[in-house]
Amino acid sequence: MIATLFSLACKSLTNRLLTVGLTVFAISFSVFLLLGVEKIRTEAKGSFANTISGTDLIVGARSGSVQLLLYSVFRIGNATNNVSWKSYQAISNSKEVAWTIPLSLGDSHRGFRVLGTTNAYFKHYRYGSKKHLRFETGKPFEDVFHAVLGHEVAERLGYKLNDKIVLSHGIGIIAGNDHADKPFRISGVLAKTGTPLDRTIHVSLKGMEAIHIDWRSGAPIPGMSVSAKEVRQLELQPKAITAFLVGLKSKLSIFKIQRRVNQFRGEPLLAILPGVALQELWDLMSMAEAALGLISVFVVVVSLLVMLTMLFSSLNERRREMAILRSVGARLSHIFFLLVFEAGLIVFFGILAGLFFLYSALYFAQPIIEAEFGLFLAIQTLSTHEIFILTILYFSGLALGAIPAYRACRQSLSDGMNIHL
Amino acid sequence: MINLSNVTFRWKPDDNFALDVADFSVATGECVFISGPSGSGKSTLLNLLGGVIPTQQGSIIIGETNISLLSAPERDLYRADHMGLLFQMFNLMPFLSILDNATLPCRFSWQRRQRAVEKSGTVEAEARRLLNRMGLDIEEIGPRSVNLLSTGQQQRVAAARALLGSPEYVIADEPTSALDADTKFAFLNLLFEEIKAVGSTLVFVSHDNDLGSRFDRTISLSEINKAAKV
Repeated sequence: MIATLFSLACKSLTNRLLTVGLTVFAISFSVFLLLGVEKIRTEAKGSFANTISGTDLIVGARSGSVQLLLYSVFRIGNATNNVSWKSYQAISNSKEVAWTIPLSLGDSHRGFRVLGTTNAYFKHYRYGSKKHLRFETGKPFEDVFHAVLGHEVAERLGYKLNDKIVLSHGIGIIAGNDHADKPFRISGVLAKTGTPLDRTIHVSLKGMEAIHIDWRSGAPIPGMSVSAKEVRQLELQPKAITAFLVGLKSKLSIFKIQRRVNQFRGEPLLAILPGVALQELWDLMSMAEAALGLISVFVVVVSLLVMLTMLFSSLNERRREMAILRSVGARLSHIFFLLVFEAGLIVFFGILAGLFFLYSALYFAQPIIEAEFGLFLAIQTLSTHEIFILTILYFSGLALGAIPAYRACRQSLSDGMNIHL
Repeated sequence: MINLSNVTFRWKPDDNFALDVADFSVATGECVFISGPSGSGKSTLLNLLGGVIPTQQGSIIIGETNISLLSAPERDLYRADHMGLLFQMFNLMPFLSILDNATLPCRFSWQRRQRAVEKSGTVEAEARRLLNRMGLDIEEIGPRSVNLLSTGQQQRVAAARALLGSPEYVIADEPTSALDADTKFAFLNLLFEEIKAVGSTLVFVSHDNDLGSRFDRTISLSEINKAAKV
């Protein structure tokens, strides 16, 4: 009997392919939106969380915790102020500190940000599940004018070992701001990490200092230019850095050192715990997340209402069909399940189509999104959470289908076998 | 056999009686012609006989069973197992093939299925046989969409369906009223042949009094229905 009803449902739907198709399409859209938003949300969070691990504190000029996290780790936004070298030394010389990685941001090269740092970066920086950085080719800085490229930089710009690059001051691509007299040589290319690191050009702090030695306030000083050769002889110690990462000998001293930094008398500083700052970032985004989620749910509701409308509006013209079925012996419950099956089939194919659109879009958009936003949207089988969402959607559709099904039964009951022309 | 006793029915609580039958019987294997214009309680009678609407008062005995005592699903099953129904027009499901239409009763009744298989080996074979008997060349029109058939052809398919699985009772509601004069009699003849061959009981309602001569008994609905508006 189930087979009979199922077959009848399939044939009935196929007969009305236009309206059914539109309904399936509407549902597929809502599934696409619902799962798409969910995917971006979870992947974005995962991606952010994976960018840094194993670092106990991040220290920068006093601003907001989220701001410091964003510019120091994610290269989003800018620092409002710098940390003086003196302060950096004072803190990194504390007995509880195991290692520090100084960071100096501000320059760029063809759209990619430049990070001035020391070899401590390649030694101590970790990401994801405490993974260390790996060199695909080459090695860390050995000369003042060495640069190590993130994987994507090398790939997109087609650079290889020993190529020469010229850095630009600031983040823009304004030609006039080039440090053309002091090109850098690529000494290494890092393996892919799936973090903003891939899109960064790393140079030594000394190199950073070197190119700015004859610059003041963002422009070269006329009449005073130091050549690359001359600059190597100088004592290249920076006066300030943007921020620095701290690894402590014992986790127990985290709060002590944090307090020390926040209360530092030399200049206003801020020390944050990356995990805590990340959580603050999530809290900030939670409103947006909730809004997006709510909108997706509304879209789903709308699409199910479309299905409801379609089923209801077809009822009138199908009264004759129902009368015929009843006349050959179909029970009211058969009529009921016939319509519920139809609703089930529509939602089922809507979900399938939605998944198809989602994975197709992912397939084509994945590289673009990764390049533009650094967000890697993995194409993987449905997670438990996604399956849960789809199951709820399916059963909601079935439940809604019961409404026109019930109405069809009532109509059939009062119609009997009478002809409605 | 069929017997109605003290049956009354009204469609809505405020309505007058649509049907008020003191006593009406049909013998087993009898072919009865009931003439009646619209408003004479025809559709009410047929719906009651078919067990589609519940008996409000009185008893309706079909065969050995008093269907007025059955629940709705039980009546549906009884109809599936023992009755073939035929309407004036729009008998066929537009999205099913001719064969699928013809074999519908066997999907809802195991008994009908068994009897059809006994006769011809498979349900489909039996359907083809009946369609042929009704004058349809199934080889030619088989794949055609139901909507492309003429009314006469549609009625024949409906008749084959009603007869599939040898139901004991065939109830026909003006099946020839949409057919033209030539086709009418041909259709009727074919229907009779098959019904007599199986020995089913036929209740045939129509306003076309020309057809009455072939039947065992003709009766006007207003004779048996006190509530008929004549």
